[in-house]
Amino acid sequence: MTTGKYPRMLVRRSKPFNPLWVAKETEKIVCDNESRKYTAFYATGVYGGIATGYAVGCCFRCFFCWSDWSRDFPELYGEFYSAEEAYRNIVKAAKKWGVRRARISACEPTLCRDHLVKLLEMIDKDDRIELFILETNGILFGVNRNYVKEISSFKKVHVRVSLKAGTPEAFSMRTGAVKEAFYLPFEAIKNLLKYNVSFHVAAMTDPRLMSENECLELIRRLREINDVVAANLEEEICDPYDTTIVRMQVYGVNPVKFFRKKLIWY
Amino acid sequence: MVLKIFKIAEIEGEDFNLNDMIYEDNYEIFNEIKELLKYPPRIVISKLYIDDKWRRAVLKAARTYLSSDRPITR
Repeated sequence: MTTGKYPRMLVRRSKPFNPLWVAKETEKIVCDNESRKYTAFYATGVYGGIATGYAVGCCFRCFFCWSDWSRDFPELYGEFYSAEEAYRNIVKAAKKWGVRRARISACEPTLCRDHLVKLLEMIDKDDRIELFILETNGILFGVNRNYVKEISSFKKVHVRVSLKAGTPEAFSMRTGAVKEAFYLPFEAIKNLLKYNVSFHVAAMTDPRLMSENECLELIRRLREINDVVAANLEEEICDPYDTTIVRMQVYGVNPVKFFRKKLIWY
Repeated sequence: MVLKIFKIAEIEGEDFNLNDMIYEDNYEIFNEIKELLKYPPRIVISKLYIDDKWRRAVLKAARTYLSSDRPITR
């Protein structure tokens, strides 16, 4: 495993990092036994209304990411919440906004495994929550089959694997991670299929970021694994959040030009 | 029916529930999966696929969907 300087905002031509090393380093900052750092708890309109715990820490540094600055400076943001405290806050938000769905967002939820598993144990037993969306970049589910097996025991969980690219080169350029890690989210998909987990795949196929050829390559790779996964692909669009605009500028993409481009699907 | 869900998901797959996206005259064909209509279309497809009773039908519909005149999913 490579070591080095903890990555902050992505800069073009920076040395690619090993996302497993970044995951471990991030866990040292945002996990404390069964506790994890969160910045807020409230509900939003996506997924038809969902109570959300906004947690801290990711092992990618995508230049189009919308998450708040806690992604880049996890030391400076958030407070620690035990799994039970996070669960209570999520359920409280669900009750307040009259929704029955829940998730952890703005981070990589599969970091701090003990925290996530404890939280899911409580969610699974609570009739007030009917569905838990587990949004992941697939890195840890790709390297650890047992983690996926453990998650498969929770009946309310639906996993959403978010792919960032269709080729190893594009993956490294957009996330900052080494090219070799490109294959891990695809391994995660295989593991999810193996353990019969409810899941679908999303991909940042915004044509301003991804060429038609790359998009076709991504779908080809998905079809090699499973046709249902490919047909059920959710395609994502990049939105001009404040943080996205700054990250793009720092990376060297002019956000004004980018967001003024017409969105023309292939 | 499953092919219809793939087509509905193309319009909106995550943020609306399937029962909000089907018309009354279409409702009957979804009778068999009444308990899943409360979920968004992509989640319905995923849940059907992990159900042995539906697995083959979902795979067949996915292949039909992918071979339609829409070469990539969008």
